[in-house]
Amino acid sequence: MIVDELKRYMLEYGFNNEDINKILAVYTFKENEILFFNIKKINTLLETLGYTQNDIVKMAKRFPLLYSYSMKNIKQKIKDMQKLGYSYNDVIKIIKQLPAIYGYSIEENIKQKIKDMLELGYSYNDIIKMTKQLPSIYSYSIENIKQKIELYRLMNISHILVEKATYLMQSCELSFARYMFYKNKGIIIDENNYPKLFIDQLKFKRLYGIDNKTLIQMYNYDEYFSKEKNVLIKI
Amino acid sequence: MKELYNLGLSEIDIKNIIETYPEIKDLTDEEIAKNIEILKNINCNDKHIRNILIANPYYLNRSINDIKSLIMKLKEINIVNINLLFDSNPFLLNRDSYEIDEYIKKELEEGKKLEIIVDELESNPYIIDEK
Repeated sequence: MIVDELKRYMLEYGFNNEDINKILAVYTFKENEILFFNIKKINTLLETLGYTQNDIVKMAKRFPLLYSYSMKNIKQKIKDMQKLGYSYNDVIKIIKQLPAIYGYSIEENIKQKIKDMLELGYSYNDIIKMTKQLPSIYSYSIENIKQKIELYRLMNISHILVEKATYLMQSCELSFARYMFYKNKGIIIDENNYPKLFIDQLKFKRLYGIDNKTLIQMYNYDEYFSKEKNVLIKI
Repeated sequence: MKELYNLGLSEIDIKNIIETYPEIKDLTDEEIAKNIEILKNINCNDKHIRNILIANPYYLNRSINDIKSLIMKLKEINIVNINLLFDSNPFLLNRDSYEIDEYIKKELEEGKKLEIIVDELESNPYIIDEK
């Protein structure tokens, strides 16, 4: 049976039974023969592009829709990303971390994000640098990006994000709560001590005896956030 | 799609969501509402839900039981702000509970304590993708 053959292929490729059931469940509307052909075709293509089998298994687990894209789409997306200013190796690495990029429109989504970040004051080179460090910037809504950057701008540390884009992973709620916590202790966060905002929870709790949940409840970001102006009003 | 508009998503956001995941058009409002409700139950506000759906619209097609199992697993390992975890990495919602188990087992085998593993995951919600 074609399904058994497909499962055997995927097991040999590096997926386990649970992964296989999960991925196949995404494509219940497709003919098994077509699906088998697609999966093999795309795996082969991705290998020729430079991904290892292990990379591909991880990408498919992270983003089960991977096998819904055409070979043409996959190749074109890589070319389109290179036209934006990334090297080939950059693109391969970015997509490895964010395979969902195959689903994002270059014009409506990715270029629009770049445009929005230019309007926030970053240079084109800054944006390329930031997205290489943290490809998931392309998955964030622009509302999310703007809120985070505005928060760090109010703290006068938004420029550090060019070198430390991974700090954008941290939620506004936590960054704000920590900022206010330090402020109430007489410590103003600036470009010299900003790493204090981003220390891990265990270390923070060890130093100050308070966990993230309690901290976020003490300093409620939403209470300070003005929906009308889209800015913080009482930092 | 009514549920998406109710969340405050713009026309452009919804257009991008459909482009990313065309099958979303086949989902009923009830199906969409059920998956949104799960996020609200873990204290995701509309902003968090918008962020999640814009990044990972496929979440709306995920089985409710699988999502509930995932959330239970994360609570079991004492992740407290699950809403912020998903807001930071919406693709975690594509994972199943067995994958969290596998990840933790692998890290424990490398000698890490559970407390550290959980702390690393909360500090870097993408870490499970990197390993």
